[in-house]
Amino acid sequence: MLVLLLTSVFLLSLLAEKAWHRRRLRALPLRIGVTGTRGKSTVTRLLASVLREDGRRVLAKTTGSEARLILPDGSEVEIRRRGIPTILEQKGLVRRAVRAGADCLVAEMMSIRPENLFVEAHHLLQPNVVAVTNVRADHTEAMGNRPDQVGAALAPAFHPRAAVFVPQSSVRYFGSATGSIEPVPAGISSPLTATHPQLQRQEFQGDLDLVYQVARRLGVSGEVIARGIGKARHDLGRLALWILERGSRRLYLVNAFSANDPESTWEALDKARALLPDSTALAGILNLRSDRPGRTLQWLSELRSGGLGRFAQLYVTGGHAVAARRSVRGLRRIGRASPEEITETVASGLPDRGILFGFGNMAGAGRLIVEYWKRVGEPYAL
Amino acid sequence: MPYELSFVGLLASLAYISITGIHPGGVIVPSYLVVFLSRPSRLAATLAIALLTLLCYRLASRHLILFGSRRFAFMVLVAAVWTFLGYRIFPALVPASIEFQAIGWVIPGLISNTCERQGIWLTLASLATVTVAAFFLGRALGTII
Repeated sequence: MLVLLLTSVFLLSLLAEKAWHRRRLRALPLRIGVTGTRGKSTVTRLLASVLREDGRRVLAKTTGSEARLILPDGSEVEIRRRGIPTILEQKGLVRRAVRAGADCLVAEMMSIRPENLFVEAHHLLQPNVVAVTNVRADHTEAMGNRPDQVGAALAPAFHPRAAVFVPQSSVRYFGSATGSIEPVPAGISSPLTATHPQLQRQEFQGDLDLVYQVARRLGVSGEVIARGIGKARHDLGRLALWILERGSRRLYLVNAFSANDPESTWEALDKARALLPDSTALAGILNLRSDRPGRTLQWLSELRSGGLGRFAQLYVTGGHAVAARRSVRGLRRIGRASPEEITETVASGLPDRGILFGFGNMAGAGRLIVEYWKRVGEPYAL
Repeated sequence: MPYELSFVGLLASLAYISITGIHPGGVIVPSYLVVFLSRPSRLAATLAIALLTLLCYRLASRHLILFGSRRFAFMVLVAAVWTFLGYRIFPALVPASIEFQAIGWVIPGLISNTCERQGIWLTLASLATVTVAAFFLGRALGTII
């Protein structure tokens, strides 16, 4: 009989949880879920800032390089986790938003596995707006290698009653996905960037287009969108540039550790090059994570198929560094070293106006290096 | 050698997972099933409860927040309820059902959980393959030793 009792208690607690959660969701008229491969934290922050500027009480949450709650007054609270991140955080997020009197929730969706993404979208957040940043190959073990596989893995985020915004170039990867997909044409934010050219310099075009289209659909004016984007605060994972003076040499430090996948990384490199027209040689620091074997394999394949040629020197550090050096000729390994030693080692071989480009993963050495660069470098361009 | 067969089942299961990457209903499940290969009614009851539990999950997951460890707990508990009914209630109603009882309390739940994650046919086909392979391997080893 005990098994009957335990099962009954378990099911009743699940039913009660669902009822309470549904009641809280009803108290939040606008719920925006941000998903995609890259740029989710940035788009979440931009959308929250724009809607705040529009006079709404917005609670937002990012889960990328730094998990943060962004409160209605724009201040931030670090999310402390006792164990492995779980999508049940989104239940607490909804509760917190209701308690804070928010009328709008902007949440970065955190699931990688499609079955979890389905639960996150259909039960926990039930977004009425879903914004997809892009469709690229990352987390390949869970999402697949091909764009159509990644699209299929992201499609469970589309709640049937949600307006879904997808970059026009990526719509084809979603096949017969449910929800009303609204394509976001590339360059749709041009009215905004024409009057505020600094935004194009600060942000990636795709992020601007997506935020602009979503905000316009929510009735926000162009001027408010521009002000909101301008006021947005970003986290450590954002593409950032610094100048480092070393004797007679001026070096450029570029943080692209959070770009993670090759396609996003090369996009970040192109943007950095465009912002640094006088730059010369390029040296890279590739930070690998032992708990991201799929990403390591992706990078090794990319480097072997020509990616290594972009760099005058490329150093590798982190969990799979030894295996990576064996696998790709020309890679140099940096063992256990402080961020200062890593920076000096890589910088020593660079000429004046050379770029020191950090990429791969933020966790571990990436974060330490970026924190060091923030301390010793002078912010540049962005 | 019934209890030794369980260990053969465990190793066969491990080898199968290593080679194919497919789980035969859980690493330990073939170890139990192979011992009961001579009692098909119990095998049938185990699979029937696993599928019934999977149906319950599919219905419940439309309304409840079920994923990861919650889904696992749901599968094991609901399967245990069906197993309990099979032991206590059904034989009183239909005496012929006394032979139609599940193997263990947790095994049907493990099978249904794997079916949900991996697909029904892939799981059941793998489970049958590993169980039968373990049976013949066990017999062959018994002959040699």
